Amino acid sequence: MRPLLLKGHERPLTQLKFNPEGDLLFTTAKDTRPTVWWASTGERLGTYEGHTGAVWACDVFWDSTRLVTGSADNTARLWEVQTGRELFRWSLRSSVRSVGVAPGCRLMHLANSKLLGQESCIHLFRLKPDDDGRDQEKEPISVFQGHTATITAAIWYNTAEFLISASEDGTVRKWDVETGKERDHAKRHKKAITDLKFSKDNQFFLTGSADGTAVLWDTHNMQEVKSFVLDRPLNAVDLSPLMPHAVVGGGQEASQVTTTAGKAGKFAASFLHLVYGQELFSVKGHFGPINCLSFTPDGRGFASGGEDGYVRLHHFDEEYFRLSSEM
Amino acid sequence: MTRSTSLGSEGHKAPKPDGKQAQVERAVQEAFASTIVVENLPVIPESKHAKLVAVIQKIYSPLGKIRLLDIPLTGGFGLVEYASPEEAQRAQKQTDGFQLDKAHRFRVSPLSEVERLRQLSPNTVFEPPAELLAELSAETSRHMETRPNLLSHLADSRGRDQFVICAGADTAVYWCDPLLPPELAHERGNWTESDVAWSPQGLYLATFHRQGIALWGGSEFQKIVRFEHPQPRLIHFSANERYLLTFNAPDSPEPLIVWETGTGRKIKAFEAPLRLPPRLLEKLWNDVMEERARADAANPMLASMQSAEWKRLETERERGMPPADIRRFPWPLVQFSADETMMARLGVDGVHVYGMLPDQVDLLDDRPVAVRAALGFEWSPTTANLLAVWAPEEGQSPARVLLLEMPSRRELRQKALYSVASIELIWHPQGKYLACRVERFTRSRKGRFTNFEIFRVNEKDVPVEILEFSERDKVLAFAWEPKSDRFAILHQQQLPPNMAAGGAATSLSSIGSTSGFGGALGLASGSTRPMVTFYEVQKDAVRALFTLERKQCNRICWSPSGLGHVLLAGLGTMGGVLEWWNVPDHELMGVDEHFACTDICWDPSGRFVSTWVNASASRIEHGYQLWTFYGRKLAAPAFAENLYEFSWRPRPSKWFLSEDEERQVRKEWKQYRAKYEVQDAALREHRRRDVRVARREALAEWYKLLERNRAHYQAEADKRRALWRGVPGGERYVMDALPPNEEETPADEGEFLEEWVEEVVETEEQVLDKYLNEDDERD
Repeated sequence: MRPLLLKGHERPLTQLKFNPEGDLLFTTAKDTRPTVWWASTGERLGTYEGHTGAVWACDVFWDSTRLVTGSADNTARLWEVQTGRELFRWSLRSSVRSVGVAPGCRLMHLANSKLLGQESCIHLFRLKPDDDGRDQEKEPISVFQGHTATITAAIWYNTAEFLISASEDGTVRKWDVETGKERDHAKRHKKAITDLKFSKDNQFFLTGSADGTAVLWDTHNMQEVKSFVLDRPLNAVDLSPLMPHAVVGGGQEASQVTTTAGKAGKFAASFLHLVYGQELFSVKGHFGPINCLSFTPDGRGFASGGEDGYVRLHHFDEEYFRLSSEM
Repeated sequence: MTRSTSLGSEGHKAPKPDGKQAQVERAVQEAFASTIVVENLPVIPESKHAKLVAVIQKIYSPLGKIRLLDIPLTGGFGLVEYASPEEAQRAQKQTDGFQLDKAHRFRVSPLSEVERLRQLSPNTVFEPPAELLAELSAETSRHMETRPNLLSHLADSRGRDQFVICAGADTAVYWCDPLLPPELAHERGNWTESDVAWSPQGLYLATFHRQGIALWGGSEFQKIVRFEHPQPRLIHFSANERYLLTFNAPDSPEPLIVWETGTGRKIKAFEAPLRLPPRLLEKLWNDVMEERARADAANPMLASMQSAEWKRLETERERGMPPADIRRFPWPLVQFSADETMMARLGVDGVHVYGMLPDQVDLLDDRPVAVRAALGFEWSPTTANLLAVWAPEEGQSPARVLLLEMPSRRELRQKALYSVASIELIWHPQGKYLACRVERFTRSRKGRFTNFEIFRVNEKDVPVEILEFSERDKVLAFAWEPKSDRFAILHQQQLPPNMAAGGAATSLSSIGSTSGFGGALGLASGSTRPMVTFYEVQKDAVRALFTLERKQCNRICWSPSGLGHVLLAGLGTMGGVLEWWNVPDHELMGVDEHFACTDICWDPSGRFVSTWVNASASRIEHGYQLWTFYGRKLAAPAFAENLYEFSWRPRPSKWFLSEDEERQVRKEWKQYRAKYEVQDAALREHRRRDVRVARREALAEWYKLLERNRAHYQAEADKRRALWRGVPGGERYVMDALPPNEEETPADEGEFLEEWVEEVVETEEQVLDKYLNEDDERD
């Protein structure tokens, strides 16, 4: 399982996003250039130039024609994937931490940081996915407020009826898109939740937290299905679309790394079996904490992005698919 | 017999006169009726008998005409016969309950009554009513419940040991298992408010609370007893747990209290102010002030705001109060002798030794052990009741170490020492030897050096061996091996100043760059890495066995097994480097690392050792790791946020095998080994089976969830269809994750069948089949 080492960013990675076909990989980092790569070869296709702050998040349209990015320059921008042209710009009052295009591509959310006196909210925008893309609405149609600390991730359910959000306050909340009301919330983590991902059918979601635990939730009743305890703070999680596996990663916080020997920082991506709860194996390589993780849409590989500025793109060996049966 | 019944009622029923026989009988009856029995008389020696008779005579003669007075010498009772039954009756009523003196209160009864009681048929036994019996038995069983079996943990079928950990608000007791991960024995949130401690025999777990100390025991850790002492900070048990010493703060009304562990009874409280030897007090204050000055120097901003604090400390010091910071106190302040018949503490005028009887605690002979200005003492760990005391130099007289036998105060050995800065008394855990670590001034009194005086306590006249270290050879630590004659010393060579200035610079920088522990040990310029030397007290001398040089080590930790296993560790900033040595064979058994670990703890059997990261000493990596005695990891490291206590449960010493028995076991170990290997294999197999069963269940549960998810997903297909209507290429989002065998699937979407093959659910079903088949083969 030799990884492809994708070196294009100069700062820590913040998000990885495969397009639905899995041939393109979009990456964002704390430098100002979101980048797109060929997933099969690791060749860099291009960058999206324009942001003036760290880029926190991105999402890509169902047909891979458009990319939305959110940045610490308080803007979210719509890009033409093929040409790198900026099509539109939304402005919020603090940095944009999470971006999500709703299934159906008629709606989009942006979530901002709790910063500069702003509460961390989810802003719901209407999208017009027409040919040109330059004609968008500047104002949100709705704002969901309730989290007491910065929202670190928010994801759309596949019917676009509701969103799930996770925050540094340790809670997950479910928001009704129609009414803008909070439908449900739950708290299980003792520290900030750092990542949130749906299973392929959206019936489960997985959260990872700085408290070193990952929790698998039932989307509908917001109850814990399983929990996993790791020996390090988690920054990133994902669920395999193919196997009953999760991948989690993290490491000691950047501020503490100087006092910790590298080998003890535990910067590996760990694969967990969702049913048996045990760690299957781990993949080392980054020399700083892992900030983001994503399986490829076919579940035959995964990518990790680190504090060290590298993206590592792995394709699983055949052995991987036999793992469960060997246990 | 008729007589007995007739005597029953005060002896008044007049029987019928009937000839001579009857006459005698009547006389006897009358004599009986006229006599009273006086009990609870003082029991007196013969010489005082006449006096007692006179006293009794004086009491009883005014009440009637005494026909006979009989007081047996040793009985503590007397018989008084009056001329008539009436007189006897009156005397009985008037003197019953008479208080002769403080200890003697008369019990007076007619002789006829005594006779009646004596004649009671043996058949007329008291039969307790059934209800009372039932209640009693219930009470007994309740009693059994409230007093659980404190030794239940020793009945573990596999002889495992327990340990307790405190992390954050949670306290948990685990079984350490050589084959399986640690098994939770008991867990409680907020069990303690600050700390926990096992009693030395492991029967109790002590927890600290605002109101005092609580002891817990039994398989479910029920509360056994409480000791009310507000805000306790330190505790100390006597060796066999009979007594408990608690300490809260030097300025509280009763800073130190001694309790009886079993009953919770307060045995003795030492009231404030705690009177400590002036030299000790001075040292405590010097330490406090030094630390304060260091803190202020490090933070001048803060220091300027704390002049009031300084003033307060100074006044307290002048008034002779002990400092409030009790961590500095030599603990335990009160020490119990190993047989728990005495306890001792340092007083202003020597060591105060108290004799401990069930009901009273008294200063032995009403005077302290007259070692003036004694600054330290230690009881021998054996029941020989030896007390080692040291006193510093005073004027012309040298410093002294004394070995006294208590309570006789017989001096076994005295040793005078000169130029002494301080002495530490370190008993061998079996009491065979006493090591005195003596810190001495060099002749110029500028430098210091260390020597050890080793007393062979069990030999005639207690010979003393001396082990000297030069000024350039700094002693960092000393450790006896329990149950053997070996000990280890951690020391460090200081390079001569001329070398330190020039030549050493390169070698030091290379050490610094590889490990970066330079500052950790106060590795001042000019000192090399520490080394460890092992010694043995042999018949004729103390011999060095061998030296390990250039070790990254700041802690020597001997296994309690007595087999010569020792763990050398570089704790904290030294990076947690660990080396397991077998000293008799000069063999390195294992090398490993537990990054940032700050503490080590051997289990009581010496089979396992734990290393852990204490949250109070490290910001990161809180948790513990279990190892075998030769340095193999026993289980995955356990991560526990804010871990601040890890402690093995001690085993009761009286059930340890004797040395001979232990040797016997070692001789026969092959048989044991075979037996245990079979057991272990069975357990492993059992465990595997359990895991398989648990997994099968988890898998079944998981499938149920997936089935439900699939149904839910399917039910929402229309919603998705509505959402994606009119979006070119959006159809696949509508159907994507549907199961492959669904009839509902519209025919025109058959083109996506290929994707269904890779469907999560299907892959897993194959997994299950394989999994089950493998299982079956193995079974």
